[in-house]
Amino acid sequence: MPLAKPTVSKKSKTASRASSAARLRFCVFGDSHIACVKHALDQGLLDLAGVDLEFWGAPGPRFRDLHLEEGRFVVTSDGAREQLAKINPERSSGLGPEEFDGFLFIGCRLRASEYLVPMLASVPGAPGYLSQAVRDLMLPRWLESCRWYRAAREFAKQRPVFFSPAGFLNDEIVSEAEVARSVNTAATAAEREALWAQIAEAMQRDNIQLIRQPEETVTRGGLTCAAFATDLGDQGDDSVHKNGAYGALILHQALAEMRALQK
Amino acid sequence: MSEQHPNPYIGLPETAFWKTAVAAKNPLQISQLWQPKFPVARKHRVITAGSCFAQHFSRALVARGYGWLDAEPAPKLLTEEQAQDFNYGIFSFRTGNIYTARMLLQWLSYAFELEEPPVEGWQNEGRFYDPLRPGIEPNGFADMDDLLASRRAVLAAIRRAVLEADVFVFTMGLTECWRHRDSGLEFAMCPGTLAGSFDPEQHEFVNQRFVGIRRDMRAALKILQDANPKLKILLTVSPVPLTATATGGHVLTATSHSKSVLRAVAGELAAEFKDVDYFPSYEIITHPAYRGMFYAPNQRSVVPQGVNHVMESFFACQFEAFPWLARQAKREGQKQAGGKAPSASARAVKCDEEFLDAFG
Repeated sequence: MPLAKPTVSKKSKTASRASSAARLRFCVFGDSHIACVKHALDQGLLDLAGVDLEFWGAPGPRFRDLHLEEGRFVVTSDGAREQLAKINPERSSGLGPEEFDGFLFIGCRLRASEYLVPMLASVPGAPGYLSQAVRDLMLPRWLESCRWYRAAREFAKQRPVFFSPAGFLNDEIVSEAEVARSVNTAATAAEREALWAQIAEAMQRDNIQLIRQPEETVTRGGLTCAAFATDLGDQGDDSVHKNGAYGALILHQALAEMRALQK
Repeated sequence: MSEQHPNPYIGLPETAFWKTAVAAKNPLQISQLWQPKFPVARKHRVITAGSCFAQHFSRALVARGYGWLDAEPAPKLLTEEQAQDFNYGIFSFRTGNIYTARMLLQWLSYAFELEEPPVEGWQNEGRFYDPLRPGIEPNGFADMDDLLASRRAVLAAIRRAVLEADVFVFTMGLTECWRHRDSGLEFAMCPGTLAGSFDPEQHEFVNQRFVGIRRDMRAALKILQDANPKLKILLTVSPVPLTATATGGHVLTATSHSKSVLRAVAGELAAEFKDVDYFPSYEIITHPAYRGMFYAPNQRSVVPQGVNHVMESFFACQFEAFPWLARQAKREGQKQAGGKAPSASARAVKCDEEFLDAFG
């Protein structure tokens, strides 16, 4: 059952009244993963001084109805249009890169667990070891096979784009059998950092800035701490989505890098 | 006056007589070639290894919704072509083809730590090739560490496969092989063909004999059944002729000899052990009763219709011997046709919940 929505904090409201002259127009784009940033906003966890923040995207299957056509995102189904009318009524028909100063792509079917988890499990002596040649194939494939990564590359030709892949699966939700089968729970921060650095380098070649999953949200080698998992509903079975605290960390990281770029 | 006894052939089924079982039939109607010892049901986890013909078994099982166990699956990020190039999903573990009984015994001995695997790699143009499976990576390994770590992963996969499986389908392929003169290590291929270099001082040709193959197979069966006493073994013999022979004889007679020896060993083992059976895919493809119709024009490759007929025969014999399997297959087929991937729909619901809560 959805939780009652908290009111937007004073800090956020104050931020939205700041002078519009030097304001940063920033868009959070994605599938259902944009919800964690919206949760952060609703819970007053965001420092949005000088920032006009908007959201654009659609959840689940309707995300497939968003397409890149002639450099713009367009909506190809009524269902997705209805979703967008709720998220961003003024831009429910489409989105172009020129409409914002920067973009955060979050989730968008690019899942950390699909690349980093098998890579972290690939250690000599482990059953999950993958040869160097196989590992070399995986990063380009992870990025290239994601339609929204390719779209981000197009946007990045015109505006700064930050990309935050969907975080690791949520600890305490994902089954222990699954953890035993696929996660190297002994993987270290240094091992994760080495992989994030490779991803950042590959994205940088496409002029996209990687937003890493913050280390404080990671546990047991390749899982997200339960404290950052979505608390929506009482079933406790969502191993994918994250909460407002996570969303705040991601957005702040993106905004900090955006400001650094502007300087 | 002596009492007259009917002779033992009277009352035998029609499959016992050439005239009724073969001569009077269209080859595609020849049936009941096999009386299986044990059922292979959908709930069973089946592992496959051996000569290249074994891979048809895994494909047929997967296509029919049977539980083929892939103990070393490809990373999800590889394309189907990439996975195939790196020999994922061909057999239950990435050993590549296991052509001989000795190679099977070697792999099992290494996997169950009865012997130390060799620390040997073949180098070609800066890349490293595993003598036990030189073709497993299209361009070899980056270095010896990479090769050995990958080898440890395949040994772990073999262990897992053997421990978790219900049925092991092993296709016997060749008698001819190449070994290291001193260590006796058998190579998957002749050094110097795909990788490495041939040295007559070190490498010797061996055409394995009936007694040696039976001994190696018995040793392999012992390792398998010590590890997993409930494991059933299904042997087949590859109908694919030799590419080349090193015996000095003609490749056609060498093929005949090689396959006959393997067929004889398989028959002996099936007669000797209650948990070992032999499925006659070899006869279905090669026997003159089938008039060579399942071979491609090169008289070596087996055409898809041949593979399909083999697998249809496999399931027909299984259903005949164990009618409940046929009923189960029908039920499962209906269930699958009406089913829907639950995880995908559940995921969509979750995504909607997140959105409704955030923006609704």
